[in-house]
Amino acid sequence: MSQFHSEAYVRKNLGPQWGPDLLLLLDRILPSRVLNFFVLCACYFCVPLLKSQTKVSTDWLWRIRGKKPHHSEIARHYYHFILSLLELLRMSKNTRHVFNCVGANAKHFQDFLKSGKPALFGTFHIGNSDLLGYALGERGHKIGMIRMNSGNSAETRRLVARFQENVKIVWVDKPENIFFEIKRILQSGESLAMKCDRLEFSSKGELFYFAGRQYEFPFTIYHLAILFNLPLWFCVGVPSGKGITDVYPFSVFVPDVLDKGTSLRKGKIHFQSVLNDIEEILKENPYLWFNFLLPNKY
Amino acid sequence: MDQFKLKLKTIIVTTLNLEDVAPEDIPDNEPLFGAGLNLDSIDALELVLKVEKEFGIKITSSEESKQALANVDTLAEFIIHRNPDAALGTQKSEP
Repeated sequence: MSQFHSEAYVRKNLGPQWGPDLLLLLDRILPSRVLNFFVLCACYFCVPLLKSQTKVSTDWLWRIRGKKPHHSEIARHYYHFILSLLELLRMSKNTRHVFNCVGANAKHFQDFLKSGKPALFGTFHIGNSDLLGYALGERGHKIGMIRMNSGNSAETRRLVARFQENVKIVWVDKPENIFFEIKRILQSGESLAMKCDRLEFSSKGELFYFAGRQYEFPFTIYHLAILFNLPLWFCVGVPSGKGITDVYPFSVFVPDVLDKGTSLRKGKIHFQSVLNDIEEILKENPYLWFNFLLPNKY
Repeated sequence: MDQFKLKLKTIIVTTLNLEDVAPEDIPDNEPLFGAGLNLDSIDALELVLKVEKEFGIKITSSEESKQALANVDTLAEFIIHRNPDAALGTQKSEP
């Protein structure tokens, strides 16, 4: 289905290089409500400037909410993205962040984390999900994280420095090295975390339904679960206040390494179930979906 | 050596579930990736893991795997270089 892109790729985050530093400065000197108001105003003016992202946001909000979004709703979509970015920036500056595990699988997930056993952890561009890998590292888990090399990502460098004892970043812009790093990490008994909603550097894609349409999602993480005989947990982080995230773990996938075909089929059923659960969360929090790339619609 | 290469081709076909490909139909010098069999990165990883386990060797970097997995010829040479007994069907573990 999808072929692996072999050329090196560096993506730059949207916005000027000094944007995150300015946000942090304003976060330090302004009361939260004042900062949030200014951010919302800035987002309002960004809507007509970010043409491709606004197109995706419009399409997404229209489908998930059932009506064409107003300019202010798209601004709100960007606003929540900035708030989540701000949490990431604060964490990179050693600010404490609270994670609450919630939902039907919370206890099972927490018991698994206490066991210290390695696993694969999948997440999506939703809310504060970017923080989850670092949260695992903070709790003593040795974990590799697959990340895109954004040229202006100073906060990632700070986070890596803060959690370097337990967190290692595998940069996706050097695809020829990815799988050896993944192999090294998983064979050494460590865990691996990756985002599972962008195809760019995935070598295995499969079709799934999400928010009323069929999309191709990366399916690599299930192949890794089978190859390395590891349980697979998906989680998303939903903001629950300044400095607080509700972590929603979904039901675990346990591969049958003796029957790869059956495992892959069960994996597809499992992932569709995860996407269905995520859709329910996003119907309640539609502005938290941050996959602003053009949708890989099938 | 031909028997050993046929064994490698069988490993490739069975490990990667290439249902429409017979081992004997894979040319020795046909690229395994990018063209020819057009395998992808996960296939490469799966093959590396299988070869390591089967022949008791280690492929330690992407550069090594690119050289080793270019085609069946290079894979055979790589394995025999690391484990001379491999072609005899005797497994030896690398120190």
